Amino acid sequence: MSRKTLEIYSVELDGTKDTKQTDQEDDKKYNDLDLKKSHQKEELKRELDLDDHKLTSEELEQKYGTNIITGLSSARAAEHLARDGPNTLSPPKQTPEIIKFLKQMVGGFSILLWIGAVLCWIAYGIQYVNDKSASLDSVYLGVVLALVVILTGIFAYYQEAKSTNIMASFSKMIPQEALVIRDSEKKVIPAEQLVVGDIVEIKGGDQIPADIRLLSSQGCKVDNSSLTGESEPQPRSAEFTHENPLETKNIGFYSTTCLEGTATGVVINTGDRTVIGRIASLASGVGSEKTPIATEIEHFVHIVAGVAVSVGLLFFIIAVSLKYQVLDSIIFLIGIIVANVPEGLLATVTVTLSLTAKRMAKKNCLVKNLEAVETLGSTSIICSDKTGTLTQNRMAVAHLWFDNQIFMADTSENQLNQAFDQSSGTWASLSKIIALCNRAEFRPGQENIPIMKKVVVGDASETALLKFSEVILGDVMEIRKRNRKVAEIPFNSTNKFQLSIHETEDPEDKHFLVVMKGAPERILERCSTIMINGQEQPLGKSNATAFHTAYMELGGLGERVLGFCHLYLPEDEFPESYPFDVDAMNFPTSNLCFVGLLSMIDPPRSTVPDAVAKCRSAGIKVIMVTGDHPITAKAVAKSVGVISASSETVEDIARRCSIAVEQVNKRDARAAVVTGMELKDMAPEQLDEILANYSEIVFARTSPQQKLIIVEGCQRQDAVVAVTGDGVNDSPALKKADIGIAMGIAGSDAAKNAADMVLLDDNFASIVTGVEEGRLIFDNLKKTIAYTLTKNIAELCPFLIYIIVGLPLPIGTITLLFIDLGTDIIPSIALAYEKAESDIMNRKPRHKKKDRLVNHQLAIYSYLHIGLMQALGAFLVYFTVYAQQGFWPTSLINLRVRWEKDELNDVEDSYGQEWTRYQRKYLEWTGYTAFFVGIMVQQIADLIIRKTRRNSIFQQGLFRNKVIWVGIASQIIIALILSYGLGSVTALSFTMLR
Amino acid sequence: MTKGEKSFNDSLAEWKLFLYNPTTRKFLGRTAKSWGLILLFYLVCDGFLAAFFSFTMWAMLQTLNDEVPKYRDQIPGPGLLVFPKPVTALEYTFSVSDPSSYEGCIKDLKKFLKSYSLEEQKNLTNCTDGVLFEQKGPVYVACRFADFLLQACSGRNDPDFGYSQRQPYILVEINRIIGLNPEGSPRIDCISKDENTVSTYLTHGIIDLKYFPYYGKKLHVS
Repeated sequence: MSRKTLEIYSVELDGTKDTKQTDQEDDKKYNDLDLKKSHQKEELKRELDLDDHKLTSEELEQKYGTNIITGLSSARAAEHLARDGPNTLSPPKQTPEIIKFLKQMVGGFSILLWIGAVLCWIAYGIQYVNDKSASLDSVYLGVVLALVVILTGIFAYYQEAKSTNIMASFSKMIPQEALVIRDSEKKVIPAEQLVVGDIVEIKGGDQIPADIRLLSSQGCKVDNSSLTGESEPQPRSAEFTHENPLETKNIGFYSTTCLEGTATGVVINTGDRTVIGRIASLASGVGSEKTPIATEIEHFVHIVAGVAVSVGLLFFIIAVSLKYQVLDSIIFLIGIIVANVPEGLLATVTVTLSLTAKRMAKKNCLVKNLEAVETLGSTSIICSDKTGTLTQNRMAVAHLWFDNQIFMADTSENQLNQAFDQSSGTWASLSKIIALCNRAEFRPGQENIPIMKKVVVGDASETALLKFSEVILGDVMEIRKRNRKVAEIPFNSTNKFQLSIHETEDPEDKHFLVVMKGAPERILERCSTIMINGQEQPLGKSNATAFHTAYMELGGLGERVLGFCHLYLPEDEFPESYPFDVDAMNFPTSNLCFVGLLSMIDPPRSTVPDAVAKCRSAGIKVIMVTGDHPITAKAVAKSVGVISASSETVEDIARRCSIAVEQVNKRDARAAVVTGMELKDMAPEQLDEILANYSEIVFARTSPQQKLIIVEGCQRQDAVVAVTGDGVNDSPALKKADIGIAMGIAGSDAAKNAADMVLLDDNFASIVTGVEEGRLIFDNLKKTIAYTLTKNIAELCPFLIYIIVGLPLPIGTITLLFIDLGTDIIPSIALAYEKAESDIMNRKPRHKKKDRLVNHQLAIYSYLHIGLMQALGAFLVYFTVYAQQGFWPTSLINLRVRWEKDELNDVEDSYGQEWTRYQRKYLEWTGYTAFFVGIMVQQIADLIIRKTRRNSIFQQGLFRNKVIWVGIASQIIIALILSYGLGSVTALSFTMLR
Repeated sequence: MTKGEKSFNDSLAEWKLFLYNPTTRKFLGRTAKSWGLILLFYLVCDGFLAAFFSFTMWAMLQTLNDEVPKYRDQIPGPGLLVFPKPVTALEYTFSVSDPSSYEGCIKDLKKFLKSYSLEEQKNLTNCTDGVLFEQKGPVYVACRFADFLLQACSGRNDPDFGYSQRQPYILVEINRIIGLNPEGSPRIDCISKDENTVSTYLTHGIIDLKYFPYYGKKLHVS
C-alpha cells in the first residue's frame, strides 16, 4: 500500500507480458487502451513493475530474444518495429484549430449576441415579407452585432493561439541517431527506428535513445536532470544496486544525457512506453485547472447574461401585453440584451491581462497563459523548490573553523564582504591549502568578468573554493604558478581525500609542501598536530573535542564540511629531484598538521528572505519541497525564513525539553519537516492535517513526483497553489497546480511548457513581484468592471421608458454599441494602469470561493446608485434636446406611435410646428447623439470615481495615472469624430450636436 | 429517487429559512431593522435623486421660450402633407367602379377641408396678396384661406373629388414652420410620372406670401 502511494509515476511495464503478446492480442490491447483512456491516470499511478534491472544478461537475452554480442537481426528488428511502432513520443490529440476558433465564437456573451443578431435578421425578414420597403435598421444592427462577436472572437483566439504546445519540447529532446549492433554489425540508425532488444552503445555527450538496461560501462555518468530535476551526475554501471528501477544504477533513461564514459545496453522500452513517455502522457493527461479568473469571469458572465435575459424577457412580456406587435417586442428584446451585455468587457479584460503580463515580463516573470497573471495574485500557497529558486544553485563557503573558532563567510551573490579575521597565521596556511589543493580552473579569456560570474572548469565544491580564494587572495592561478605542482592524487570515494604536492614559492626554500583536503574525519585521522594561531601543536584530546564540536555544529547547519591539512616535507628526505609517485605513494600521507575546517552550502539568494517575509505578511504560505537531506533543507528553510526564527518543529521541542518526540504536543509546533519517506506512508487525511495545522512546512528528500501529491493536498484545502519546478518530472505537478512556475534558466523545456509562467531569473523574489501584480490586476479589474457595468443602466433605461412611457427612442442599439466598443474601451483599459491603493501585500489572499470579482455590493453600487444617476443625467440631456427643438417633455409622452408612423408628415410639436417623418428621424438621431454624449461625459466622471475603491482620490493622486487622461481624451475625441465626422453615415445614426 | 426528494425538501427548507428565519428573525436575509434602514436609505437617496432631477428639468424648462422654440435648425424647410392620407407610403390604389375603395379618401378630404370652409374662416383676416404678412403682436391673426381657392378641388361641385371620373384630386398642404419667410414666390410643382397631365389649382401651385410667416401655436390662431 505504502509503496503504491509513493510511486505515482509508476508505469505498467511488464516486459514478459510484452513478449508473450501476439499480434491478435495487440489489436485487443489497443481497443482496451481506448476503453481505459479514462483510467489512464490511475493506471499510470500504479507500481512501476519493471524488473529488467534485476535480470542477468542471459535472462535479458532470452526475454528480448536478442544476443548481446550480435544484436538483433534486421528482420527481427523490423518485426518489433512493426509491433511497437517507432521510438517516438506520440503527440497528444489536438483540438483542431477550427474548433478552438468556434469555441471562442460561442463563449461568454457571444451566444447572446448571436441570438440577438439572428433575431434581427428574422425580424427584418418578416418585415420584408410584409412590406418590401421595410427599413434596413435591423439588418444593420444584426451585422454590427455579428461583427462584434466575430472580432472579439478573433481577438480571443489570437490570444489563445499564443499558448504553446506541451509536446513540442518533448519531441525536441529526442536524440537523432543511435549506434546499434544489428546482425553483428555496428550501425548508426535514426533513433526512432530503435526497437526493444536492440543493443546500443552510448558515449559521453549522447542523449540516451531509449530506456536501456546497461550491460557494460566504462566510467559512465548520466545527467538525469531532465527526469528528476537534480543535476548531480550519476554514475551508471551494469550492477543491480536498488530495487527501485528509478534508483538502480543499471538503467539509463530515455532523453537523459550521458555526460562521460561509454556504455553498452539493451533497449527495454521505446517511445511512449519509456518512463519519460509515460510522464509526458501523464502531463498531458492531467487536466489543467481552470484559472480562478476564468471562474470569476464565468461567474460574472452568468450574472450579467442572467440579468440581460430575464429583464429582456420580462419586458418582452410587458411589451406584448401592452399590445405592441411581437416583431417590435423582439426588437425591444434585442435592444435590452445589447444594452445589458458589456460587449467590450471581455476584450478589455484580455488586454488588461496582457498589459500586466508585459509588465511582469519586464520583472522576469514570463506569463504564458494570460489568465495566470491573476492566479498568482490569489495564490495562497507557494510550493517552492529549494535549489536555484530559494538558493543560488552553487556552492559557496559559508563557515570556516580554525584557531578553535568558527568564522562566518559572506555568502551573498558577490561575496565581496569577507569580514572574518584574516590576520592569524593559521589562516595564511589554510588559505594556501585552499588555493593549491584544488583542480578547478577559470576558463581562460574572462579577465574582465567579475569573479563570481566567471566560468569555472571543475565541480561545484572546488569552484566554490576557487572563487572564495580568488576573492580573498587575488590571482589564484598566479599563486599556483609560483607554487608549482609536482604530484597530485585526485579525490576518490575510497580515499575521501584529495592531495597535491607543491614546491614552495620561496626559491630559497627547497621544502615540498603536501596539501590535503577531504572528509573532516578522514583528514583528522591522518593528522598528529594541529595549527593554532599559526603554531603547530600536538593534537590533544581537547583539540579533537573542539574539532568534533565544530564539525557537528557545521554539519548541523546542513553544510558540506571539508577538512584541510598540510605538511612540509623534510628537505633531506625529499630533495628537489625526488620522484613522487602517486601510485606507490612514496611520501607520507599521515601525521600531517591539521589546519582547519571549511563548510559550504548552496547559499540562499539574498533577496529571498525578504521575499518570503513579504509572502508571509501577504498571508501566503510558503512550502519548501526539496530532494535534499532534511538537515540541509531545514537549515536553508531557516536561513530564508520559510521556517521563521521563532518557530520550532516537534523535534526541536523534543530536543529542547529533552523528551521523546511522541510526548510533544503537536499543537505547540508551528513548523514541520516532512521527509519523502514519511510522506510515502501517509494517508491523504494525514497530509491534509499536516498542511492545515502547520504554518511552516518543509518537505525534504521528496522525489519530484511527490510534488503532485503535495499539490493535490494543498488544493484539497481550497488553496490556490503555485508550484515551482524545473525537471521533466515536475511537469504533471506544474500542470496540476493552479499556477505552474517553471525556471527559465535551470528548467527543462517540458517543465516550461507545462507551466503557466516562466521565471526568467529563477528567483523566488520574482514570484512575489508577480503576486503583487496579480493582486493589483484583480483590484483593477474590479474597477474596470464596475466602470463598465455602470453605464448598463443608462443604456437599459431608454428601452424600458420607451416601452412603458412611449417616448421617442432615446438611444439606438447601434449607438449603444459605440459606447460599449468605442468610447469606453480605452478608459476601461486605462484603469489597469492604476497603482495599488493601500499596501496590497499586507492583506490575505482572496478566498477563491468567497471574494468574488463581481459581488452584489459592486453590482448594486454600479447598477442602482451610479447607474441610476447616469440614466437620469442622460435623460436630462435627451429632454433638453427635444425641448429646445420644440417638443416639451410632456408632449413626448405616448408620442411614440405617431412619431414612428412613416406616413405621418405633420406631427405637431408644442409650438404648433409640423414635423415630417424625415425631420423627426433626424431629431431622433440628434437625441441618440445627445444621449450618447450624456453617457460619455458622465462616464468620464465615473472613471475618476472608479480610480479608487478605498482611498480618497487625493490620496491616490489625480494625475499619477497618466493613462486615465489619455483614456478621457480618447473618449472625447471618439465622441467628436462620431458626432461630427460620421454624421452622414445612415447606419450609424449620429448627427451633429450644436 | 429518495435522495432527490430529500434534496428537494432540503432546498425547500433552505428557502423557507431564507424567507423567514425565526432564530435570527431575519426576513429575506435581513432583520426588520436592517430592512428599515436600507429602505430609508433608498428612500432618501432616490428621493434626493428625484428632487435633483426635477430641479434640473425645471431649470432647463426655464431657459425655454414659450412662444418660439429655442432652435429651429432641425426643420429648415417645411414638409408637404398629402390628402387623402395614403395607407402605405405614398401610393393610392382604388377602383373607379367601386366607390367603397375610395370612400375613405373622400371622407379624409372632406374632413380636412371642413376647417377651410367659408363659415369656419369668416373670422379670419383678409390679407394683402403677394406680401409677407408680418405682424408685430401682441395679437397675431391668421389669414383666410377659403376652400374656394382650390377651385375644382374644393369638392363643392364634385362630391367625389373626381375619384369617380378617374381624376382624383389630391390636396397638398405645406407644414407650419415658425418664422418661415420665403423669398420670391413659393410654389409646389406637380409632375406626372407618365403622360397624363396633372392640373394644379392655385395658379401654377404658387402659395401666396401672405400666408407666411407663422408665429407659433401660442400666439397665432389658425
